[in-house]
Amino acid sequence: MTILSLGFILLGGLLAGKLIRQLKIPMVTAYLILGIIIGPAALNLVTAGILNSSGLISNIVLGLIAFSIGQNFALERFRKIGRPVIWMSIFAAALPWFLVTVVLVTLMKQPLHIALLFGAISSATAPAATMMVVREYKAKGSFTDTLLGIVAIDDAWCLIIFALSFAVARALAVHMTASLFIFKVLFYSFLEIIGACILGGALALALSFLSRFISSPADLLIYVLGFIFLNTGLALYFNFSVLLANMFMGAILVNAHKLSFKFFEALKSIDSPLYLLFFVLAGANLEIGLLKTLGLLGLAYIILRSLGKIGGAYLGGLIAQVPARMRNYMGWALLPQAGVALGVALVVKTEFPQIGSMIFTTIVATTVIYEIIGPICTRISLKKAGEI
Amino acid sequence: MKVKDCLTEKVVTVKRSTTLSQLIKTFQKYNFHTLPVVEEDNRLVGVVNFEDILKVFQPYSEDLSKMLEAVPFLEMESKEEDFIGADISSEMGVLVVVDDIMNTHFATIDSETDINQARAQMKLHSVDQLSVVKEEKLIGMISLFDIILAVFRERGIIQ
Repeated sequence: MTILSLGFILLGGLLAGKLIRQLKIPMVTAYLILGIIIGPAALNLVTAGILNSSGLISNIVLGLIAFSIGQNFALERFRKIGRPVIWMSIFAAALPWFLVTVVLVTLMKQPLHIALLFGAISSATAPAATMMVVREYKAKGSFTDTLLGIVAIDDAWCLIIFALSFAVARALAVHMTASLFIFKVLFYSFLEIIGACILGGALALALSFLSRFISSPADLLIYVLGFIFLNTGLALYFNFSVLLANMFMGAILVNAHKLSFKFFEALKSIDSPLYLLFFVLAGANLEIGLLKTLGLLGLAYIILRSLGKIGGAYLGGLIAQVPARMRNYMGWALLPQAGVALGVALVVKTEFPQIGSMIFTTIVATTVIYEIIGPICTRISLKKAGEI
Repeated sequence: MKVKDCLTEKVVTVKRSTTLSQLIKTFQKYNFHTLPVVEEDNRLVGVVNFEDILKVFQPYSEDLSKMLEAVPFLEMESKEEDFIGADISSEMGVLVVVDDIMNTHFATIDSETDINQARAQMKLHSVDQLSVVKEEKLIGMISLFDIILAVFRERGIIQ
């Protein structure tokens, strides 16, 4: 039954993607909605076996995503990004995180570790949705270039913010009642992050050095995938950050190996079905019963994240001294939320069984809302900026 | 047998400053898939494939496009710009130069390498020819056909 279910998911996802393309909605949303429809919340066509493997799939997919994003830290490319993209992307990722965390703790009386996780997830955007709007309306100009530069890099900031927050949240949850509480939280968070960087860096050098023995494309795919699993598995075993370990492996590799592009390209032949499976499973994991109780929290999340994105891009724009039209409208264009937010929310669901479902369901529900209103905001901001 | 024993020494090259229209004419004339890009001192600095010509239809810079390629899920959307119906000015032929569209990360092979190794490298990188270098300078090209010729010649099947 599980294999039959997998067949339905892949073929259904392909069909849903084709159908929804006519409606100008990103594929990610199509898969997510398909997941909600065929999941336990509606048709119940997804077996428990597959649902239970969501944690495994999300760890694998996030490992691939983080590794792939790491290549954007190639020094020769990173130097050319430019101040506006750097500052606006950092602030547009950090301010939502700060606002959501602080308001959830102070006004909404949520525990710090829950607020931190919500805050970290809020920093993500949806490059695919943004790109879709840019392509559809053939937007061109300095605003569009800056916007695409930001969406290219800001998932990296999101993964870093999430990894830091996750480490602190995990330490907070585990050592809440321990003596020397603050010291332990800081120590274990530091360990989780530094350990991930050392592990990712060491495996990148090993991957680079040993690749001289690889002589066929098929072996190359197995080799790279093997290293990503090894890295992810070791990170999980030692309680290091899976995201940072893989992003660091990608970042070190791209700077250490002249032909590193071949490692990243090898993965492109297999990532599509994995991403599809991942998003459909994300939708199927939605616990629709929880939605009723999450109205206020969801609303607060949407308002605070939006304020953070708009305000963050504005502040970053002030520092980088960009024209007013750019700093005023950039945050609006960054409102879509999808892939990485769902991915990290699924990790939260697996790692924090008691609070994870609540966080995950809020993120799925707000993602659906953001994927509908987000592209509209992106279009309006591109229009206001005079580029469509 | 080594790469130096069967490489083609006479190679058509282009410069960074070669314009798009000159490049297209070169591809048309020689019917090659890939051309090496060299400096005045013959130092190999890049390669340009005829597919790279399509980059002129990209609305963004090469660096931005490369960064976007690394972003997950973008691949799931349409990859290639619609170049057949695209609007492009005739000035592009002189405004765009090889430096704008060439690949700076590419596989090369040393002239002292064994041809078995050269063939393995071709398979690994999914290409059918490699630039042969000695101390960063281009000294020739080796293609799959060069290897086939050399093997057949060695066996006495051809002269």
